Amino acid sequence: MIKVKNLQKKFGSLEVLKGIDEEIAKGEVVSVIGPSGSGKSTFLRCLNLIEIPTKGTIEFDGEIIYKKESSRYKKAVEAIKAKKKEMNSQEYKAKYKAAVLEYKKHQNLEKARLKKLDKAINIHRQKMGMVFQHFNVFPHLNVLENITLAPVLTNKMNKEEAEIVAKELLEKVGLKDKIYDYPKKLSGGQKQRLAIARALAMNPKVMLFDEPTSALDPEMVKEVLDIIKQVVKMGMTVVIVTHEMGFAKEISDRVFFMDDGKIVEKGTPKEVFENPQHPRTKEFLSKVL
Amino acid sequence: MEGMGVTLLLSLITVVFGTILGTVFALMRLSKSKILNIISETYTEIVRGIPLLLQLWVIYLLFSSALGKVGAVCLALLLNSAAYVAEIIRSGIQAVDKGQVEASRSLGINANKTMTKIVLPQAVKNILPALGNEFVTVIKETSLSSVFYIGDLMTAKTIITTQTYLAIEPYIIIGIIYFILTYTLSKFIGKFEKRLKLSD
Repeated sequence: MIKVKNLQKKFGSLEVLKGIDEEIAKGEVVSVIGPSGSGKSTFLRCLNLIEIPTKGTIEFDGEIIYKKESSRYKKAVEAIKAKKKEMNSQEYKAKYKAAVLEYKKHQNLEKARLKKLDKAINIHRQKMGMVFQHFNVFPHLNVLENITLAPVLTNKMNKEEAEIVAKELLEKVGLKDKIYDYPKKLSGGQKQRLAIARALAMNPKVMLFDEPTSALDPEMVKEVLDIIKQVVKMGMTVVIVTHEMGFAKEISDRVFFMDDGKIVEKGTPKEVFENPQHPRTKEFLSKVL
Repeated sequence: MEGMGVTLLLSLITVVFGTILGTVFALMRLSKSKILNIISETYTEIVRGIPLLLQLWVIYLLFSSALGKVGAVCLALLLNSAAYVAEIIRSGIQAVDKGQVEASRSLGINANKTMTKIVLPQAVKNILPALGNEFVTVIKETSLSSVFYIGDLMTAKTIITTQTYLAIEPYIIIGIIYFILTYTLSKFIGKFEKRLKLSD
């Protein structure tokens, strides 16, 4: 379903993802755990290209949706720089200029390609629902409009269809009595359930959860986790970044442990939680369990 | 009374065209093009960093022959106001939580629709109070145009003073008129804000 190759992401000089190779199968439920700052969220956000990777390939449903390899033109510029001492200054300048020109030309082509990609990305994102730590429900729209907005704007459904779907989903997440309320009146747990319904309305093939319960009051965590369990039961492919270890253990088919921009350990929940191999995993689990 | 008409006319033209021009500058500032960014930023910084009276003089001397006295003053006022409006709109748009854009884009809604359906409706609530303040400021700033004797409220005051030899009384009356104008406007904007809040 999702396949990433050598996924890398830099923020300025900070390397957040240092090359991830992974494949997630259809219907699989994967939890990503690890200390904060390990790149879990960035990894998830790269999957639907909210964060554009610096390097790497992402395949979704057999389609390459993002591909960027290290540029040989840039390498050429650097190679000439390295040989500076071997050449006289005039020769160096000419060669350097030519290489830079070539590099810039290539970069412009790349930019044009990314622009074209933008449309494809929108379609790709419609197949991948995402739920955020801070809910990000739309405060200026009521509960129903929050859900119907995307299906209508992307021409996936007309208004009537979208409302029928929305009402079904609201029933599922237990918000039917709040249908015309504005998010301001909802509790954190209700907002998050609304956000899940909003993502499901697009009928995605994959759901990404980015720490969905981290910003919630403790007594509201369960209601959200219960909805996520429902989503899992629907047979959806799910990737979830979470600090709820018990929950991860319960629902996951596989668990990834990330540290310092890499997946350092992966396996079934049993393997990872009960018999961790990597010293970092052991250390982390001993702290949180 | 005629003075009030001129003041209101000056304010109205400044507000309308200042807002339009300000919106253009704000969009330039937010656009991806670096050149547009720099043009807009330079403009707002220069205008905001120089006294309005000086700007009035420069524009007046340059354009009063072409546009007439009132035209030149209008131009100066609206060019000045546009810079402030641009900053208000820019900060209003940027104050909308980034998560809103991310959520919208993650649903597959494209950038333009995200702007019009998600960001702008929320930005309006940030922009409106500050924009109201700017309108009030504009009304008061038109008084500077009396330097050029173009018949606004302050000019009217000067005329009255020279005819009646009264020093303080005209000031008080003009002050009251200014206050009525600005107070009505801010009340009106306050009401509008409340109506927006209802939909929150």
